[in-house]
Amino acid sequence: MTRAAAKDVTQLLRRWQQGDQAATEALLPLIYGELRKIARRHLRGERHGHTLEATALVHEVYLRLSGGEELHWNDRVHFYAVAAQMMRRVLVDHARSRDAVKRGGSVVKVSLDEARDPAVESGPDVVALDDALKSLEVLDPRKSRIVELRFFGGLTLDETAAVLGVSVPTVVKETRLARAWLYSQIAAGEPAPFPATAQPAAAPDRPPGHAGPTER
Amino acid sequence: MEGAARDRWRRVQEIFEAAADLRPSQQATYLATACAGDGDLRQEIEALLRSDAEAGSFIEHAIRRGSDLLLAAEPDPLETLGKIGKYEILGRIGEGGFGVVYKGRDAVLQRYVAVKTCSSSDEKLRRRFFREGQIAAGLQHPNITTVHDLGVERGVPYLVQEFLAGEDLNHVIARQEGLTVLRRLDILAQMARGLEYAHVQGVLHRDVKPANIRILPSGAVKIMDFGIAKLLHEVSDVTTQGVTVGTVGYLAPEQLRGEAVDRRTDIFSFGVLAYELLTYERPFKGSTFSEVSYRLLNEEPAALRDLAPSHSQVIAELTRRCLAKDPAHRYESFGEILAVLEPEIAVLRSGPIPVVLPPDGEPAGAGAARWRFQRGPRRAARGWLLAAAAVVLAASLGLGGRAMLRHRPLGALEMRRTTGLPVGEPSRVAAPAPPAAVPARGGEGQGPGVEAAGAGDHASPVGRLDAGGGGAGRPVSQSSPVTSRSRNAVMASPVEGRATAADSAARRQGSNGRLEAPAAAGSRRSALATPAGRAGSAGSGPAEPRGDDAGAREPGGIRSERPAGATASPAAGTGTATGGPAEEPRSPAGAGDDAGNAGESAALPGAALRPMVRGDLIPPDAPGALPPRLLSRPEPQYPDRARRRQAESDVLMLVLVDENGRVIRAIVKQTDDPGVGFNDAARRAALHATFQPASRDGLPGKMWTELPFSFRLHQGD
Repeated sequence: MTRAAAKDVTQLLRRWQQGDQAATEALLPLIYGELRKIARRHLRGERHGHTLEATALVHEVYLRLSGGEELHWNDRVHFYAVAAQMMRRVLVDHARSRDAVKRGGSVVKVSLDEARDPAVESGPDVVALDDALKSLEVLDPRKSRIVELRFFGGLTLDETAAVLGVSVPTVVKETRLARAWLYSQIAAGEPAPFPATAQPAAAPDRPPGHAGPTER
Repeated sequence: MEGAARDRWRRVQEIFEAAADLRPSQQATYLATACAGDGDLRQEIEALLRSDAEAGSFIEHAIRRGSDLLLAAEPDPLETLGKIGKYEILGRIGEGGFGVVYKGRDAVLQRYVAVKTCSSSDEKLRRRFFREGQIAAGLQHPNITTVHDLGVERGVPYLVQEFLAGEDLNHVIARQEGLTVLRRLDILAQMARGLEYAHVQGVLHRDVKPANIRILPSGAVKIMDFGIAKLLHEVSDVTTQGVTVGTVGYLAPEQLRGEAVDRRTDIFSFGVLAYELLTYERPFKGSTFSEVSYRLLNEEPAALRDLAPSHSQVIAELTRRCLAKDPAHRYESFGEILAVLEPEIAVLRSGPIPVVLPPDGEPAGAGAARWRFQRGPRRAARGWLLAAAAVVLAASLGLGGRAMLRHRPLGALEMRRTTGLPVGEPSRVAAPAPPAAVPARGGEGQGPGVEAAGAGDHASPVGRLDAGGGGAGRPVSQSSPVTSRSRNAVMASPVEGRATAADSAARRQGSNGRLEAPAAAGSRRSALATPAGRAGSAGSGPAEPRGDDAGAREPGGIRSERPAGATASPAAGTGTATGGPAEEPRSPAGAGDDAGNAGESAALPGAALRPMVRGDLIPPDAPGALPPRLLSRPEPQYPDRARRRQAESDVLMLVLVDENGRVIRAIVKQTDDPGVGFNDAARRAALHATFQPASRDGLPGKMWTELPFSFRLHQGD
C-alpha cells in the first residue's frame, strides 16, 4: 500500500465523515480487497491454527490501508467505524451466499471440538445476528450501531462513545440491553418445531450447557 | 416508530437497566412495582433479563464464526497455477470444506472434469484425502460419481471426477417445487442402489446429505464424495473447517457421539435426507449446532405424514425406521430399503390403473360396480396390488420360496437386473384384469431408461407376504394374510361378484382400520402398524427373507402364475383360503396398515369402496360430502414481536377437523410471517376453533379444511 493510497483512504474517510455516501461505497472494495488478501495469507498457513478475530481482521485491514502509518486518531476511529459496517456486510454477505440455497438461510461454522466446549458454544450465526440487528435498528438505531461498532469494528468503549457522541456509561448500558434484546429476538425467531399437540409452541428447549458464561 | 411504541421502549429500557443490577430475588419485587400491572411489559422485561444472563459472548462468537467462514473460503494456492496435473483449470465450481472444487478440462481426452483439491495445511488430512480418493476410485456404479484420476500437485492432493451437469439435491429441495412423489421416491431409490453397491464393496459414505447428491438433467442420481466429505468430521485440528448447522442434522447419533460407524450410519443420514425430500422439512431443526444435535440425539421427529399426509404409511414407516436412534432398530442394509421403495415406485409408475368405483354412496361389491381408469397417485390401488401380488406368489412359491429367500446374496441387486421381466411384457395391457397387470406394469415402469429393477422389485412385498403366508404359524407371517385377504377381497369382489364372506371380513378390517385412519391417529397407527409390505422385515435381522429376491430367484414362478392372476378370482380365492386365520395376534398390524391406506386412499375415488363410518377421513371432493362449517374461532393473539415491528401478516392454516368438530391438526399452509410469531399465533387460534363437523352420507367424519387468519394492526397499536 503506497502513501498515495493511504492518503486516498484518509480523504475517503473525511468525505465519509461529511456524509458522502459515495465515499463509503469507494471504501468498501478497498476494505474487502484487503480482507481477501489477509485471508489468502491465512490459508497459506502463515497463521495456521489461529483464528482471526473479526476485530483483529479490521485492525489488520486498517494497518494495510494506512500504509502502516497511524492516521489521525479521529480518522482512525472513523475508519474503524466504516470498517465495522464493511465487516458486517462482508461477513454476512458471504455467509448468506454460501448458504443461499439452504433453507433457513443460516449457517454456523464451528469445528466439532469447538462446539463441545460450552465456552465457545455455537450460538446464533452471523446471519441471524444481522437479521436481529436490522430489527433493532428499527426499534433503536443507536443500539444497533453500538453493536456494529464494538463487535464488528472492534472499537473500544471510548472510541464508540466518541463516534456516537455519547458517554461511555451509556455505551456500556446500551450494549447490555442490545445484547439481551438481540439474544431474545434470535431465540424467539427460531423455527418452532412442528406442533404435534395443541400446546402453544414455546421457545425450543435449549440443551444443557447452552448458556455461555456471561461476559461481564 | 410511533410515539407510543417509543415511549414503551423507553420504559423497557429504564426498568431493564434498573432491574439488571439487582439480585434475582429483588428483581421480582422491583418488577412488580415498576411494571404496575402491565403484564406484557413485565413479561418482556423478564425475557430480556433471562437473555441477559444467557447471551454470554454470543455476538463475538457469531462474528468470529462468520470470519472463519470467510477465511476458509479464500482461494486455493493451486488456482493461480492455471493447471492441476494435466487438467486445465477453467473455474471454480465450489468450495469444499478443505479445498476448492474446480471445473477442469482434460485436453487429451477432450472432456470436462471436476477437480477436487485438499489444500489443507494438515498433513494427516491430506494423506487421508488421498487414501479415501483411492478407495472412491474403486467404486463403479451408475449412481456413484466416477473417479478418473488422483494425483498430487505441489503437495496438494487432488481428485479428478467426472464433471456432472445438473443440480445438487439441496438446491432441488430448496426450490420446493416440481417434484412428484414418484420422482422423489425414484431419487431415493437410485441413491439406495448406489449406497447398497458401495456397502457391498465395504465402502461407507459417512456424509450422506443433499449437497452430496447430484441430480443430472437425465434424471439420474449420482452420489458424490464417497468417504471424502466426511473426513471433515474426523479431523479436529483444522479450526477453520467443521460442521455447519446445515449439515449437522444429517449426521447419525453415533457419529455425533464419536462412536463407531457402519452402514447403518449411512442409513440414518439417508433417512434424514428422505424425510426432508418428502416433506421439505428437516426432521431435526434448529438454528444452532447444539440445538440441532440435541434434537437429533434426543427427540423423535414429527411423523412424516403429519407434515405430508399424501405419503403412504409404508414410506412414513421407512423414514421412521431409518431415523431410529439406535442403529439396531434401523434397516440393516439399503437392500431392505429398496425392497420397500421399489414396490411403492412400481405402483406409482404403473400407468392407468383400474379402480372399482361403486355408485355414489353404495357399498362396494354391489353389482353396479364399474371400472374406471384413474390417473395420479393411487394409493387405493396399492392395496390390491400388494394383495394380488401376494396371492400370486403365495400360490407359486410356498415354503420352498421362503427357504430360498433366506439365502439372498448381497449382490442380488445386480442379479435382479438380469432376471427382471422383459420390457413391455404383454400382460401389462389388460386394464380390467388387475392382478395380471401388477407385476408386468411394474416391470415396464422400471424400464431401461431408469435404473434397474424388474420382477424382483415389485415382487418384493410379494415375497415377504409369501414368506409369511406360506409358513403357517410363523409369527412374521401372521399379519400378511390378513392384509392380503382383506384387500384382495375388496378388490376382487366386483369381478367375482361372490366373495361375500371375504368381502365382509374385509369390511370389518376396513372399518376397523378406518377408525384409525385419520391423520390424527398417526402416532398410534405407527405404533401398531407394520405395513404389509414390510411385514417380513419388521424386527428382522440381516438374514430376513427379502421379497425382491423372490422375484430374482423365481421369475418363472411369477410368470407361470400370472395367467392365474389374470383371472383374478381363483387367485384371490387361493389367497384367502391359504391366508390363515384373520384374527391372529399380529392382526392389528394388518388393520393398522389398512388404516394407513384408508387414510390416504380416502382422498381417492378408490376410497369409495368402503361404506362411510363415523369418524372417517372424508376427502374434500368426495361425493355427498359436506365440508366442516366454522362455528367459532378465537381471535388470535397479535404477537408482541410483530406489534413492536409493526408487522402485519396473513396466515392460511390447514386444519383437520374431527367428527366432533374439533381441530386436531393445524398446519401452516401459506404465510408471510417474517418470523415474528404470526404462525404460532395462528396455529394456537386454529387449534381452538370449533366447527360443525364434515359429514358424508349423514355421518360425521374428519376433513381437512382451510382456515385463514389475517393479522392487521389497528389504530393505536
